[in-house]
Amino acid sequence: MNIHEIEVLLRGRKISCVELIQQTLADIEARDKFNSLITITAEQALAEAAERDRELAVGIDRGPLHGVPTAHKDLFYTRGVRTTGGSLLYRDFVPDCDAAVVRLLRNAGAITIGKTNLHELAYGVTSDNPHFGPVLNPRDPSRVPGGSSGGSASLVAAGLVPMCLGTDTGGSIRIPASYCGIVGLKPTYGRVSREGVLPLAFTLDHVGPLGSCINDCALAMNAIAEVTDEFHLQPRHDFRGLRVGLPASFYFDRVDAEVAAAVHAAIDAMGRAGATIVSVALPDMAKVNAAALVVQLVEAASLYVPCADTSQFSRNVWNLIAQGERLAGHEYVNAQRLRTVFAREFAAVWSTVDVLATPATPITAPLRGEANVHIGEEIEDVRSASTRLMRAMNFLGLPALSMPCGHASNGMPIGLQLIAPAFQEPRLLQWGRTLEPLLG
Amino acid sequence: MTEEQATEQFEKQVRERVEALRAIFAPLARELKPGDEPAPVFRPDIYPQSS
Repeated sequence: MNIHEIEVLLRGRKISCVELIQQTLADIEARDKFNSLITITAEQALAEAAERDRELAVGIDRGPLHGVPTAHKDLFYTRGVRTTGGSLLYRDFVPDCDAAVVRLLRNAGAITIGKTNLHELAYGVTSDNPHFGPVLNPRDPSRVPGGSSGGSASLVAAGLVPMCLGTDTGGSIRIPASYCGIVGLKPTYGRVSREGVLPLAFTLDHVGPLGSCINDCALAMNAIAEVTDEFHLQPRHDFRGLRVGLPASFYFDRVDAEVAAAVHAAIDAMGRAGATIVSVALPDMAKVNAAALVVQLVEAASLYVPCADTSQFSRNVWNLIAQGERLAGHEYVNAQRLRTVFAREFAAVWSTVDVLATPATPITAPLRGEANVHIGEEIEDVRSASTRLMRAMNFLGLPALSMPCGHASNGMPIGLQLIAPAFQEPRLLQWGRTLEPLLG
Repeated sequence: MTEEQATEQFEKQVRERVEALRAIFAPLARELKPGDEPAPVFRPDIYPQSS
């Protein structure tokens, strides 16, 4: 069920908030074979549901999220509930306050049923967590769900909750959304508060929703954005006046043929519905990615090198931290200087188009344990392939949406990425909402 | 593989990855001009607030 369907049931008194949460917890017990959750907060959720029922009985309605079950990536502080970051470092960390977004969602009436599993320290793309177990992809449990917000994506994709919170430093909302066939939004940098969220890379981290549909993400954004209540989607059926940018380079290079075909089909659908499709030249995105990676490696190293005890980290995560440790201060500063240069160059794109359409990931979800993937005749490591089309938008801080746009012959979903100018999330979600029914 | 060999292999892999990144990044840094300064990307929302 999506949030609107839940809203209809609750407002029609077909079900109470307590019954809904009881059913959700029973479903998780019976059907979550994907290791989506690290912690389940059943008692707290039922108490909150009872309170939401009492409110409805006396005419207090907090809005569309009232009584809706949700869960948060285990990177968000939750008062009195451990927040592990998927890491041994934080396995016993119990915050004494909630993250700002957790508070905002609760104020909007949403009910937290638990904390979702993730890639260790949000530093990876498979969510194959050595400490809390691997998250599996509900579309095919032999495949990874993507990461690092893998548990949030798998919980939504399994239909167990309509929306979860995630974070995105180099694609960690959009990659699992793409691999699991759901919707994920990385908002503009600064649009959603990161207060009370375990960081990975301060200037690249973003908080956003993963939802079963575009509207679920819009309703979540209404609650958590710095400027709230802007996300009211209309039932539009055409794209007249919209200029869709089709990148002339990079975004369709080294992309699986079925993925490219599905994304082109989605762009064609926008064209048939009135959009003008414009081929657009971009800055060299491989260079943008390189500078972004320098920033990520150094910022993450700044957090964890002082810990010194390498036994607290998996080998793969420590490898990344060690890379950051070996980069120099001048390299970090110059990467931040390049950020200004690339942002200036990229801004010119918006004079010719309103939105960019690209594949979200160049492949569908890899098999578990697969270190490399074949893309045409080439072999690429899973981490690079998964983040390659994502990372630049973290560096530039621009909002980017991943939404399903079809399936490959292996049955796995394919993701479309839509990118907009800063602070254009409401329009970005509206375009996604208009496109959703056109893609079946 | 001994622990020493494993450490050596780990260090080699880290070194190679950093050098591969530098091969792309260093020429970009050399093209930077005096006016190209870091933007003030930090925002108040990152600082913990009392609640």
